[in-house]
Amino acid sequence: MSENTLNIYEKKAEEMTATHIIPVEAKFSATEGGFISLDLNGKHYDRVKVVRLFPFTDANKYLSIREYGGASKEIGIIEDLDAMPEETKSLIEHQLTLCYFTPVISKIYSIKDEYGYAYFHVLTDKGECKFAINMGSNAVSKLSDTRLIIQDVDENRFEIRDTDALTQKEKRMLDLFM
Amino acid sequence: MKNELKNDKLFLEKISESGITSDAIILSSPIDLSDDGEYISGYLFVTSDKVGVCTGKLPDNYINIFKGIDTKDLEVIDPTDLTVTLYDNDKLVHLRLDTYIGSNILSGEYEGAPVHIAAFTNRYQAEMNVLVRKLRAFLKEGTLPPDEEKDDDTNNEDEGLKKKSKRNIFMRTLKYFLRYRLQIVLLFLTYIVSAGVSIAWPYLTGTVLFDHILTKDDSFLTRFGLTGKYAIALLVVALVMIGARLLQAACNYLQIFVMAKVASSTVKDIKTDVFDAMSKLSLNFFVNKQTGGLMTRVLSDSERVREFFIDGLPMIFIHGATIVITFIVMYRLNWKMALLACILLPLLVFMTVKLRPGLWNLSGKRHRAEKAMTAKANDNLTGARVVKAFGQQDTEIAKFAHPSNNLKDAEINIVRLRNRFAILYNMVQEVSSIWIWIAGVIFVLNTHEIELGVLITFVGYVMQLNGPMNFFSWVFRLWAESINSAERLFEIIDAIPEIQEIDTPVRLDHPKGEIELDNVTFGYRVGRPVLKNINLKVKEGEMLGIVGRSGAGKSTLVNLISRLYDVNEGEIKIDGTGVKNLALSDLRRNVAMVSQDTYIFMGSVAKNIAYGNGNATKADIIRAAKLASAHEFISKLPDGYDTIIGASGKDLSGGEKQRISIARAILADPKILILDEATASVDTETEKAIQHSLKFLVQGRTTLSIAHRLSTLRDADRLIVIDGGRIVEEGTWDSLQDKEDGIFKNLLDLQNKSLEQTAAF
Amino acid sequence: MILKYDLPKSAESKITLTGDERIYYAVPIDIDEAGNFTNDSYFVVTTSRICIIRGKDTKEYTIKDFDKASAEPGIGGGLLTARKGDTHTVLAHYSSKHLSRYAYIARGINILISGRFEEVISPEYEKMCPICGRAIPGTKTCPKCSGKGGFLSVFAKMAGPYKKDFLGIFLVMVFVAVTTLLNPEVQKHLINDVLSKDGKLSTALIYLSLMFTFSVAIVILNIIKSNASARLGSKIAADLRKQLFEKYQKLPLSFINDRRPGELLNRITQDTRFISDFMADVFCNLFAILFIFIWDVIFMMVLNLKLALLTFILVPFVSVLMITFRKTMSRIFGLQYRKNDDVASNLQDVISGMRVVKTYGKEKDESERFKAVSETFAVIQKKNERFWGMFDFFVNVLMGMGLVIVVYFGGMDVLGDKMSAGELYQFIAYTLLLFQYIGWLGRLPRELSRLTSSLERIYDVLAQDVHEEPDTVREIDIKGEITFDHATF
Repeated sequence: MSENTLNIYEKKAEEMTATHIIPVEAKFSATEGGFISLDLNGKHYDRVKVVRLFPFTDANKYLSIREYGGASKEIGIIEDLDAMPEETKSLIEHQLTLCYFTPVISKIYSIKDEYGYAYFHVLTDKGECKFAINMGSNAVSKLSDTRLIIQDVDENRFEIRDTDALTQKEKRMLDLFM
Repeated sequence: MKNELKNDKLFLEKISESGITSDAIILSSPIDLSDDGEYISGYLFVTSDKVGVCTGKLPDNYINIFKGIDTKDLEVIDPTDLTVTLYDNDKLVHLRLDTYIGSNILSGEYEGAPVHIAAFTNRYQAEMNVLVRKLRAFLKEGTLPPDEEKDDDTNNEDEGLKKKSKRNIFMRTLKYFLRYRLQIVLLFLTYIVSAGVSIAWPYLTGTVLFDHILTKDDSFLTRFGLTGKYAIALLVVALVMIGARLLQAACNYLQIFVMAKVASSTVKDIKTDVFDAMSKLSLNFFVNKQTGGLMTRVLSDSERVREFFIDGLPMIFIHGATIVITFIVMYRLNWKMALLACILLPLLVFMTVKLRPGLWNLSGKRHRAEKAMTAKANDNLTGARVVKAFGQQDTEIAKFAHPSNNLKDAEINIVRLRNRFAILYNMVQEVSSIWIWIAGVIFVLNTHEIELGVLITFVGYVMQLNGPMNFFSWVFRLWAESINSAERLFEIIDAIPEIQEIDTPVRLDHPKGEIELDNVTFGYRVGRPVLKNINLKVKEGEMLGIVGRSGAGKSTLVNLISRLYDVNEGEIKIDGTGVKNLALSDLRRNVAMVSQDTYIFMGSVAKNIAYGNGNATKADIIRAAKLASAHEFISKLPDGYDTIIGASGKDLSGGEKQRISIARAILADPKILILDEATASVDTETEKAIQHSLKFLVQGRTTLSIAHRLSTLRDADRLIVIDGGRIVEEGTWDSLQDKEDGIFKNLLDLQNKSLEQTAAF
Repeated sequence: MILKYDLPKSAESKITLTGDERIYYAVPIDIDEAGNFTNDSYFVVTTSRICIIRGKDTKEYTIKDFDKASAEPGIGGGLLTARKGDTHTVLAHYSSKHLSRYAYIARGINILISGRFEEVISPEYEKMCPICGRAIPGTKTCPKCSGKGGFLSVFAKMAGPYKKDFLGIFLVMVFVAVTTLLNPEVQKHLINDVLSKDGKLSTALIYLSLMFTFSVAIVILNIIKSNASARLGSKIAADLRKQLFEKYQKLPLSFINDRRPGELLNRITQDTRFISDFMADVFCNLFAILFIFIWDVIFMMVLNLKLALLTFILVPFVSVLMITFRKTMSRIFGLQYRKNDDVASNLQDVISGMRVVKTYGKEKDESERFKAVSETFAVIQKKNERFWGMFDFFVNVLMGMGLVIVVYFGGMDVLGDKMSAGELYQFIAYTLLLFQYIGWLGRLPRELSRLTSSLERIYDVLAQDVHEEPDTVREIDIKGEITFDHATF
């Protein structure tokens, strides 16, 4: 291989493995279509994606900011959202609500089971909701002893933050599935 | 079975005819095949100046015994027509031991011409291997090499010394359950109460009801002060029945309640003990066994043991007590009837013991038939693409018919046999029941010995005995199976791990990463060394590339460095201390290996990467993932680093798993990093990225890298080529590239050529 | 999959169609702009416009204004976006329920953008029934709502080709029932006529031989019925397997790839096995037991109406108990088996990855982990067994009570000469039969529903439309030239 090709590969390798931290001064702005753009180090990105690297264990730390389209290469990582200026923070949070939809269950009204499916009727922080889970598959994932993510047949996700905070009645209803 | 020439007078006699005495023989091994593949009896032996073969023909009725057969009662038949062939040592060169299917041939060159010296079956493979190795050394150097260290089989032999009697195993298993002494005492109480109460029911609904109350038998009722008060007596009976039933049900519930705890806890204890013991055993144990088999041991065997001790053993007591008490009561009521009742019962027992076993075989057959059918259907579905591409649909349909029909037949056969057994069994039960009726009727009508009620009671008791009888018929099998299972479990618990730490191990506080291999020889099996006389010194911080054909011994070399196996001869030193003397935990902490085996356990990506380093921060994990070029695909997973992967989690591709393994090794920050085909499953671009990362990582770190793709070793400080278990070439990339007709150069040319062709295409 | 929902009047009135404009696609948007669930928003695509209706407000876009539409899946939901040049606009935010739907709609919009007018149809199945809200078990239509589901119709379909065998087994069952019911009658006569009145030995022996004959007949008939049912069941299962397998060969690759790999395999292995087990264990006794049960009740009532009614009081209690307990039990034991599977997978991973475990020196950690997992399993196992014990307790007691009632009230009747001792014995025998079979009948609804599901799933596959080879096929000599002409996939 010629020296040039080797260099190109070296450069690519460098890019692939380097970690860029997005500084506090980075300029995020809202686009008219409802997304956000980024100006950083003289480069302008029309639309950027925000990805949570640790959605469960640290939802507001380590957010990966990526280009939209193509291979969606990573532009950089925001280490701590709370350390960013208010405006940036609210913009990014809005983006996150568009990309991540995991209602948190606050009350369980009823759980009925029928022929291998369990039908939930719950109240979440996004409103009242009814969904069904397939009891045969791994619909309920335990993130910790008291935190659950329930996936329904459509792969909607519902979170129960703290099972200890449920009422006795609700816990009993849920117990049958744990 | 013949083992020692020294003990075989017949052959020694023949050999002495050639002037060789027993003392002159320094090596020997039995052989058992002739030139034309017939079974013979003989020996290969070596003296200080000759190699000799003595063989004898076997008579037609000779029974060839192979390993594992009990030879105590077999008569010894001597071979006939003994012949001896001798070769001079100094004229014998180029000894070769070739292994074929089921046979092995020792040949060489004698006076310039090829000669076939001896042949043998796999029965004597171990002995012959040792002999040939020693013979070669002897022919070369004139002295015999020392004996090798203990081989793998001795571990098992040691265990065999412990008398594995069934009783022993039973007692050991019982100990697990005896941890719950209080509960067991409670259980026994309930057993006795249960058995006692079971007498009540038939008695009340038979004798008392029909004989005394309904017939208005005042003589009986006065005993309870209920003369004339028939209605009340009836009420009393009803209440007693309720009480008895409640008591019995309560006892039952208590039994289950207590047993549930004892059973599940004990099985858990057994399982964890077995797993614990298993994890301590060295890699050798795992390599030779199928994962499924080991899993069965830990899971199914412990369940089987539980089944017997929970369902079987207590029931033996309950049913035994029930039978005994029932018989006592029957005798007290009317000994003649009782005797008649007993006559047929042994017949039942006999039948079940003889016939039941057949059933279990059939259920195994059904299981296998189902597996075969499932496998065929699964193959067809997963390979649907190929089937359609080759248009083989009709063939597939035809091929499916066979396993499907086998399953159908197996299912029908099971039911048929079960029913055949049921007919006989039920017939005997009906006959014994009718027998009681007949006897009872005769007694009531003809001899007026008993009343109607007693007859009804007896009928009730006999029916009640069916259950326990039935039980005893299959409990024996359960016992046998559970003892076998327990045996297998204890085998593992008792096994002594090969790799053990010495009593006062040396700590490795400031590891430098210097590796030295001193005259190392090693083979996984006795007499078959994979590495021979390896001498190697790796400086701290050096990157060493290891090249060689498949099976040359590269992976074995690195396995030895991390002490997954111990060498047969020679020594491996890290920072000047032999690995056998180092504390295992220090050794493991400072040596990290990335190999083709990836272990992704069920947990988040973050936890998997932090496997070797529990204190890693999230930033560390991301950094390691980036360096391993894993960050990109992890970011794209639905839950990022928190995504659960592993058995019932998200599936990863081979390359992704490998990159996680590399990230893991990077995060573990070891002084010695071993990469065994670590980038085999990733594409070139990713490989380049990983190599780039490694370039920084290897600074200050000793790295050993094994690769088939030579381009990955471009940055190595030094390279070695292993062939046939020895280091045949050594040097830098450039020096080896220039070596004409060297293995390295040939491999490099081959790879470059194919690369060019691919590029051109 | 539905891509054009029926809009409610309030939404429909917001869209005024002009000329040949028609509604192509209409689906609900279930997340509002604040990020909460909503049920008054709709996404409507007409020939030339996109209308987003949120309650009272409508927002309209002209389709031709955009270059491309895409449905972007996120976590737990997705976005329908449209791009003009470099500007991306969010049009709708929806939950995962509609992920596939919007993907098809995005494709549909792109077709309209490019000036073509084809409508996109989705061949995928709905996961939830829009009418009754139940989950659809992998079939095209909801078995409850479409009416053509139901146990009887599906069972009839399965049994159709084997009418004669079924009839034969049915007849055997009738005989079994008859003999089982007659036995106590004979016993009654034996007791009454002979034993109580000190009759003759010869008459007694006649009755005894009758009893024996009946008993033997019961045994033999049961065997015949069991063998025949098992054979029939295995035959049906084998035939269904063959039909399924052949169907799989004919189905297009997309059908196979669209489904989880285990799903199709389970049709052939598990569902058919269930059918064959059902036939061998449940069906072979079904009619016999029903028959016996019904006649048993009738006999009891004929024998002594008051006593029978008293005994029947317990029946509803026992039935309700059985049904509720069994439902819960199947669920908790299902959980146990799944937990067991987890333990097994865990173990498998560790054993096959032992090399890595050892290189990192993590043997102890793995032991601890295994211990924790085993403990969780042990706790579940213990709880389940205790639950089973409780169930057993109640069943035992309740069934015993039945007999107590008979003994007391029946005894009173005998004392009052309203009933003979033999009749009492007969009644006791019938009561025992009754309670014995209540238990069996208690599992019936569940077994039947499982059978229905299995059969439905199987027939759903068999009913798939498959492109049949036209009869006029001719052989051609393929030379190997391949051309791609505007192919899109």
